[in-house]
Amino acid sequence: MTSRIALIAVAAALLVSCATDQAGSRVDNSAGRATVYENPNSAGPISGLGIQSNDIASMTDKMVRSMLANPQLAGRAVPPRVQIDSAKFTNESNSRINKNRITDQLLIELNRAANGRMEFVSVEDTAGVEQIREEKRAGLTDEGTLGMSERVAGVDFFLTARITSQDAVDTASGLTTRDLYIAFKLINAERRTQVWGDSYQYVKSAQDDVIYR
Amino acid sequence: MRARFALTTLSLALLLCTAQASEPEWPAEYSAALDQIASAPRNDRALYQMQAGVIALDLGLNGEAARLFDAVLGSITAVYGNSESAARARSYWQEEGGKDFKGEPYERAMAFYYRGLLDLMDGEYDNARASFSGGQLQDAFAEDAQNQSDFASLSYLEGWCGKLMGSADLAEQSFADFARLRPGMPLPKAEDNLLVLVETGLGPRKRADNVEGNALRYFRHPRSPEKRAEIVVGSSRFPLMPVEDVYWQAATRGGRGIDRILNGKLEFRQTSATVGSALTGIASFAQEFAPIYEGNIGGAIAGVAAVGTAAQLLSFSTKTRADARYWNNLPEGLHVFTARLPAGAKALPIQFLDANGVVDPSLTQFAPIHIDRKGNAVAWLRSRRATSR
Repeated sequence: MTSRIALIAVAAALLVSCATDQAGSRVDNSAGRATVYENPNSAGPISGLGIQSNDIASMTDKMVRSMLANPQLAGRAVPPRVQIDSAKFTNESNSRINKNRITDQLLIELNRAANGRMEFVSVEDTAGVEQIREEKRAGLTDEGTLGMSERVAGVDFFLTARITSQDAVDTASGLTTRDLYIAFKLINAERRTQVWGDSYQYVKSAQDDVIYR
Repeated sequence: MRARFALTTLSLALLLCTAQASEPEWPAEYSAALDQIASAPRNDRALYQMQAGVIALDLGLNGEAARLFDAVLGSITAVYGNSESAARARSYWQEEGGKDFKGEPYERAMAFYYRGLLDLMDGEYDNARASFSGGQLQDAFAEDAQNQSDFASLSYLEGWCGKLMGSADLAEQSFADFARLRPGMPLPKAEDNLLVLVETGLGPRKRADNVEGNALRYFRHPRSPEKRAEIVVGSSRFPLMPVEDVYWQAATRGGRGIDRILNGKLEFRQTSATVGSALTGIASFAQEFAPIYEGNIGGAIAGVAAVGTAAQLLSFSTKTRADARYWNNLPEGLHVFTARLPAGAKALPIQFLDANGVVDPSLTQFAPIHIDRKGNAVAWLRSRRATSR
């Protein structure tokens, strides 16, 4: 009899302690987390359905390889001049996208990998170039070491991209799927013909916790 | 040595002065909103960012508003697959309000609306369109199928962006959605390049209702009489088209997934309370008759009483209250008007009317016109300041 009473008392004590401990955990006393470097080529600890750094890295890598494998672009005796400008990128998807983030990475990676097989015309730096040209021609500065050219470089090809997406939502389970597709085209700036094209696509799905549905 | 020490102290003081001088002087109401974010518990931060974002926009601090809504959208779109805070909110011992705030679908949709508006003012039509579209997606989780993705204002704004992007297909598609949701309402004309967007009244309030506070209820703000808006040019009046009722969006969402969990918690709470009460009652009753029994009956009674008390403790510790935190500076209604931007126009006088068409002159004000780098314009105005409650 005594042992049964003791058992009941222990069970009761456990239940009480369990309840009070859980109630006590209302205060968020969790420790912080020291800064760690994440790999930009892999998905980060917080993610959603939008474009992330690893998507941009994969996409850039794919486009650079594809463009450099095209003999019309990378196999010319005279390196073609290419313009990559975010103003020629259109976002028709359901995700806000910083297009400069895509064009900057694409431009840097292409420039590095092309290693002189293509030249890149920076239209966004036109104002800065004009100012320096004027200073040289006004005699405020010397010619520099490259000499002067009569006109600034014209563009042979420019890159365009259209970003589209298709979302599907299962309202019962909260499962959301996003199919994002980016179509890249390189256009001959004189003839309007398309000399190269490729695409990048991902399909992501996620289900938020029931407390947010 | 002493001279070097003095020099170091002076340099430090100068550095501090420089740092202080470089901090922008924000208006008092925005500073207060920033202080609230800084002192808020982590799980409330997105809520205060939403409120501060509207205050910044209302004060014309668009860069700050964009920064805040970027952070809010980051919180909203992060998928909480298996987070600790989400697990806590589901547990018996925590209130739903312990979860990281993302808002109910109407609040999330409005966060996307404000981010889109800021992009639109900046001439970033495609990103603005993406935001409005993203907002519509947040509204897709309504339980009632006919109220899913029915934020007509967002469809209209998506269509407007499609038009400014020069994409007839995108514009047509979104305006068709708008026409389905608001049949008979006019669409922008081809030559229009000015969008007037006016917000009226004060947004819906939430309350954890029911005896145990486990049901979420929405109420219209009681001090929100203005229901309509019109542009006044000389003796002419141009009424704005009412495209959204934010209270209606909040109230017609239907049940939430968490409601079933809260109901389960309530059931557990009531059962454990009943069991606890019954056991302590039995123990109390048995105690009275203990002397007539032989042996160690007192110990058994104490055990039953202890289990009963534990069950009652479990009941008291079970948290069934719904999360009633709400975005307190949302508007009640959204109204739009489009036209060809009049040459030289800088602002538009807007007056507000109640449901009977009576003008409240104290609310009449000018909506500043933001002209973007492509020559298109947005005039945005609230009937009441973002700090009004």
